[in-house]
Amino acid sequence: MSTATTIAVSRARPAGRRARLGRSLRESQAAYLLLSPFLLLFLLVLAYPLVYSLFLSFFDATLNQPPVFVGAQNFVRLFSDGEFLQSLRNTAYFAVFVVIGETVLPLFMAIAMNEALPGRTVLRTAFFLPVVTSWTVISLIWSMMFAQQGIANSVIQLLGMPIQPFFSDPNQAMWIIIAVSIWRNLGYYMVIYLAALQGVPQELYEAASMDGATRLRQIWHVAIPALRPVIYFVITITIIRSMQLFEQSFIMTNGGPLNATLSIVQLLYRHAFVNLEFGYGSAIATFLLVLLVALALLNKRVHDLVVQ
Amino acid sequence: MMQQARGLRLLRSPEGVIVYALLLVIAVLAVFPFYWMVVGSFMSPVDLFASIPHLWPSSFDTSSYQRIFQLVPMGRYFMNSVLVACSTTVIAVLLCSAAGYCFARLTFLGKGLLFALILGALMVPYQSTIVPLFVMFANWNLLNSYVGIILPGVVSVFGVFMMTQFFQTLPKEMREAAIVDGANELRIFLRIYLPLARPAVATLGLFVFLDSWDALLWPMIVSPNPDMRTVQVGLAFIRQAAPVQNQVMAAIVLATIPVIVAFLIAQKQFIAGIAAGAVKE
Repeated sequence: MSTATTIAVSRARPAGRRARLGRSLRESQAAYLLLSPFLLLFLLVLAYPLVYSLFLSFFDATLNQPPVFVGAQNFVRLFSDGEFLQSLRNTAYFAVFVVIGETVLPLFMAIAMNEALPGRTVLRTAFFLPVVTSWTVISLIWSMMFAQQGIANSVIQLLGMPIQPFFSDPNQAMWIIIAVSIWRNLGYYMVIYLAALQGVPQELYEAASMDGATRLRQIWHVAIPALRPVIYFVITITIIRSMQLFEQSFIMTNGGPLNATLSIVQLLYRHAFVNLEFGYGSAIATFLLVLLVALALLNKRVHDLVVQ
Repeated sequence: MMQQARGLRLLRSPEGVIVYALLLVIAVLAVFPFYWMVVGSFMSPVDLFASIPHLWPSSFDTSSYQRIFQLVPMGRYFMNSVLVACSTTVIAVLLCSAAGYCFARLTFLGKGLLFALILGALMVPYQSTIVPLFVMFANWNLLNSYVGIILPGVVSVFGVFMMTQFFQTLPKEMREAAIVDGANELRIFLRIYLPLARPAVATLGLFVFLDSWDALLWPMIVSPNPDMRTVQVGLAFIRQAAPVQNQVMAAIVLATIPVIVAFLIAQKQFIAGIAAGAVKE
């Protein structure tokens, strides 16, 4: 009996290994078959263009002409280009206030919305309307509202105040763009905070309330600390997204007045697709890439220090 | 019941009332521009520029809607957008599901390296590849073509990441059992795992569709031909074509209605998708 089993097992072993090898080979084949459409397109429209962009930023290139190698000249030009430095300043200024606004306001809204309020669903839908509307549409609406003879100025006049220049004033133009950008995503970040708030165990509040903490103190001492990773997440994505400012200023001000709202991406667009300077445009793109990757990595470091 | 009581308690305290009032103000601010757009599209220019702003048209004027179709090919813009957004969504969802399934449930050579590469690409802003993409597509005669508009949008790195996370929540025993039954890998993916991924597929599809529908920069660059404009590109140039403000408003209303209707229908899924995506990260 036992010898028979031993023989059977020892015979089965190599066959099993071969079968296993065959199976994992087939698994690899299947994986590559399933993966190949994505992988090919990933290489074609993402990986290759990324490398190509780095390459182009060292060339002087335009349509229908062979590119000419110019070394680091595009980058030298970049850092002495007044327009570029201004676009960098504008974008950073925009980002600072948008990040603050989009981190703080939605947090307040989420905390309030976390209390069962009358008409909660209706409120949430209202907050979400701007989120699902494209930047193009939003920018058009606001540029009409803040036009010289738009409804904003009518209301201001009704209140007996002087008519405002809005888009013809560099400072006001930037602040309208900041306000629109914050306004558009309030509902989006509110939902992110709300989801996190709902994950805070009820017992924590109850414990705090037994210690005699008021609702406000409960929120400050229980909810906010529990939300720290999410607050950090919101800061990270709002930084990265606001550094990519384009549609709002492109449609509302076209970068004006006096380049006061010109953003990095819009400058890239102008050089690469209006002037067809592909080399210089790529240099701006490379700068943007390095800047955003650096910001992402920096954020990760700070995140690990703060959250863990 | 408990929740209700808590909410009412909030409204009983004075601070609670102030907080609620602030929420209402924000809600009004969120909705008012949309209201004004719809109402304004039915106003005559006299109403629109009245010194005391009208919040309701003195007479309903639908001429702007007729005019806008004569001024710009709105129908064509819609057709382009629907075609682009739908194909992008279907292709992206299929590619991302297949890739996500491989990373979550199969073992193969180079898996870790490939996944790291794709994760790294999450950090790449799409603006940093548009210049070379334009040069490549110009060389390949893809300017002013649907393929040209669609292609970059179907590679959703975020989508692969999301689908990988989803497939990891499905048991791997189903695959092992199916192999014992003699099913091949492709069938296992298509017949067993993909149908179970319907909620994730729907959420991803919704995001890809909206992204594609809302895109401005790339479609504008890759198709300079006015006939190939999508709705957003058409809108970006609308003020050059439509001289009167109520016509611009009519165009905006037409362009926004489908998205808002779609949102109202799929609201729950959409909001749950945003919440889930964020909390996991």
